[in-house]
Amino acid sequence: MITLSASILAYLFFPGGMFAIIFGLLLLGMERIAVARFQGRIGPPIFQNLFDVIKLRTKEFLVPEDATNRLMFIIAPFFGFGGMMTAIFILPVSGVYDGAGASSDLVVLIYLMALPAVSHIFGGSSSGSTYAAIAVSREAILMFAYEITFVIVLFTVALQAGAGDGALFSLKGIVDYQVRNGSFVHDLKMIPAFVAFVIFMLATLEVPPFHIAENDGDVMKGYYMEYSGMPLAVFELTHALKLLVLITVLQIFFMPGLAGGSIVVNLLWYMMKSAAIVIGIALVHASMPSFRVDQAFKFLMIVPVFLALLSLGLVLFL
Amino acid sequence: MAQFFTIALRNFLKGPTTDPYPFGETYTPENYRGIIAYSPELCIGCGTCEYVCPSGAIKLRHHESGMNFSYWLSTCCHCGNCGYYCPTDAVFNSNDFHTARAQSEKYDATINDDIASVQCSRCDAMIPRAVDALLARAYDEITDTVRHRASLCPDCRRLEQFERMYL
Amino acid sequence: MLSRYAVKSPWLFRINTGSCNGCDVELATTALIPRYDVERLGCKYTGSPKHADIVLVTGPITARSESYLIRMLDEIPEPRVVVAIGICPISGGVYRDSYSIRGPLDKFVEVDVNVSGCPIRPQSILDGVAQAIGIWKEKIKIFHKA
Repeated sequence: MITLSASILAYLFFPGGMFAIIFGLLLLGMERIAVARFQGRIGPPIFQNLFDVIKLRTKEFLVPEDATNRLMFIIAPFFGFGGMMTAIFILPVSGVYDGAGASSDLVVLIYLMALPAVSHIFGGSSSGSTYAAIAVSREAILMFAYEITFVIVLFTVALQAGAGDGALFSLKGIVDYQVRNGSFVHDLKMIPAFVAFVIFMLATLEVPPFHIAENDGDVMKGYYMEYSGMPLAVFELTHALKLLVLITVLQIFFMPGLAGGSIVVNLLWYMMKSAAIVIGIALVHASMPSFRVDQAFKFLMIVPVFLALLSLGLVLFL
Repeated sequence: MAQFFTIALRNFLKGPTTDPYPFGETYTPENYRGIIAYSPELCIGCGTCEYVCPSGAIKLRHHESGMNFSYWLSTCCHCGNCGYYCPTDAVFNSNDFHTARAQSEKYDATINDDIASVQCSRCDAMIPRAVDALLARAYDEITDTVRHRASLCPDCRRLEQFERMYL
Repeated sequence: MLSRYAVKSPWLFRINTGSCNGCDVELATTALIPRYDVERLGCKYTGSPKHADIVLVTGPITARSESYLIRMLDEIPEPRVVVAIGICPISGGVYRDSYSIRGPLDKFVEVDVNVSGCPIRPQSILDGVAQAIGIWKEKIKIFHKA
């Protein structure tokens, strides 16, 4: 089977770069439409998030006078953006793209996934706003809780893909294993890990019920409070890329099945799977109220961690 | 949570319930209190509307040839008092809700009309008209005598009354 | 060229300057109730003045809220459009000539659109936002030429 290999073109245009940004923004627009439909509204046009980014490009950028660190305030958005651009470059898309990683890129992913939250924390805490300070503390608490789940799920998947022969830390290897032996989502042992990963996804994307750190009615816009213009657009792009990265990771870990032999068919299959996942996220978004921060912390420390550990135990001892 | 879930799915299946307004027509209730409508030929200039207007949107002014009725949309609170108290239904709330105006039109969103006045049938004085709606409130039936008296100014009416009784 | 696509995403920010809450309820209605769905125009209510494109001001600008209003308006990046919602910020309405009122709004800032009513109908708000989008488009062009 022919697949694309990693190159500078892959980083800049496809499947990273331009394609990822536009596809991520379209997925965000789709999520907004789906939420609107679940609420009985018509909703925005599908290109809405693209228009948002173009709009923010025309706006003035203001740096607050009482920012504690002006330089950090300006460069913070680019940490998350860079991290996500790299992540999408590393991740393989089954049947389309090989991914840029070497034998242990799964470990790199742990660090890259934390970068958007880190950029929120740096940007928010250097802005000097009280709302941002509250949001940053909440984000840090949440991040502490959900990263545990992610690491456990990741080791479960690596062990399962290793097939009793130690852990396999190569993303490409995990995809190939599942293409040969069937997707993990069909495996009963991996169902708890799948649920745990979905909860981790919701918590990372901060959709309700984990809509705590940037809740409009509560901490205004949280760490985005003092941002305007270009850097806010970069945050928007980061958010779009983060959604795409999480969806791609979900597909790599649990459902990298192929639809056919050619790249185009597999690409369409990948996009359809992504759209279906986004609609699922939108359903949760539309039908869930928000947790308080302490409730969210308790929930994240108990439910997904327990589910992930259950899967890990099953994989280890069965 | 399960309830929210079913509601969300039901909404999705039923389709959006959004009013098509900025792009299509909307429903406006018959008795919606919108922008004021005013008909000068029914107005008798009694000033009740000015008296009951809580936000001072209606002003009646006297000038040489009669009276002037003015209404400023930008301060009208659409309470409907003027229409409720108007004895001849010259002022009432239409159901026009298009109240968005550019700043340049802020002071143009007005009604400014002279109340039609008529000359007294006996002297030169200009008096506000007594319209049929008003006469109907005062008399059971509007006879020619009533009409004749309504066309006189207060002084002439007094004079005529005196002539009728004592001369 | 940019302005053609930029105007499709007006983010709304509302300031309450001592309003009786009537207009604020109608604004919330416009945003939240599926019947009026302001998101069709691409609008989104933002919590931060720094994200705002169209500012909706309600209330007659009481003496207490005057300084906050001025500070808030300073924080909104150009190009922006100011919309006065309800009769209070436009002319003072029923509170006009009160000792505690500093309005009308156009004493403090250049207002672009007035939407009168007490309170305004949600459809009128949509009207006002649609007019504001037209004015905003011209402002983006001027801002980027200068």
